[in-house]
Amino acid sequence: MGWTRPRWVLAFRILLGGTGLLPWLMAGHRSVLLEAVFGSTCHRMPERSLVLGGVQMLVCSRCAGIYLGLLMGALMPAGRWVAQHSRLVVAAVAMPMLLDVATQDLGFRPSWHPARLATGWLLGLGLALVALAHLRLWADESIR
Amino acid sequence: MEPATTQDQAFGRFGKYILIGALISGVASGIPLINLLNCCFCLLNMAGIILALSLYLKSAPGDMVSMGEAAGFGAAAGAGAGVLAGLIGFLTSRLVASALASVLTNAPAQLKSQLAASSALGLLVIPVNAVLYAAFGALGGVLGMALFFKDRKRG
Repeated sequence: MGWTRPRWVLAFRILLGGTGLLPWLMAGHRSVLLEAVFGSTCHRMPERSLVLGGVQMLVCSRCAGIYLGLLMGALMPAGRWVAQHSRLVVAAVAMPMLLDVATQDLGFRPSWHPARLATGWLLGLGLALVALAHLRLWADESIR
Repeated sequence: MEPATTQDQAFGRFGKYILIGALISGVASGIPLINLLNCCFCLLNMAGIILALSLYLKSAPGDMVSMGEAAGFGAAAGAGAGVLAGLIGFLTSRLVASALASVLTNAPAQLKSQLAASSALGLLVIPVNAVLYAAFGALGGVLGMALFFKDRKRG
């Protein structure tokens, strides 16, 4: 017997949430294996990364924010409105991060962890909610 | 509550394009320097999957894709890309390690064993890489469908 659609959505939430949780779960612990894995998706520059418990996190502070956003998004309900206004939501959550990246990399100001964390978190949360809103609509069709 | 529809179960129709997505994302993510683009929200992985999805939609003009299928497409292609990127990384580290070993013939045994250990680690990276890339791939599949191919969405 096949899986019902809500089960697939739950699997997606677990995959996304688990991925978002991992760098935070490992904060303060060293793992050569995970450093190699996350090193392929993040520059891991020490000056742009948070150090918790004396150990540099698996990802930089912006990515740490993104992963936290993905985790929180995976745990939250996503409404129909988000699905209907996907492009607007994506633009709204991407804009602060693009501004942060531009002003930092053009040298207008130094790299600032709170801004990197906050804008990354917003992007991760927004993208997770948009994806889950669409998947939830898809799942609801089978219940109706 | 109904189980997945017949069309949802006809997932095999994506097979060739899942492989294309895995190949594009995996090779791009495995090449040193180019893979730095993945620092921007796993961009190479997501872009490869969205490109493969667009190729499928072009090849099947009458077909509509559900969000669940897009997520599955992305997850499968992402997992493949993770395996491929891990393999390329493993082979690259093996090449570097053997080149270093031949140059440093008088290197201490400890350094040689560290080089061997680091290349062996490359194999362990592959399954974890597959899960991480599958998560971003699934996200990429759904977001790609929602943002770029809305008119081809089923349901």
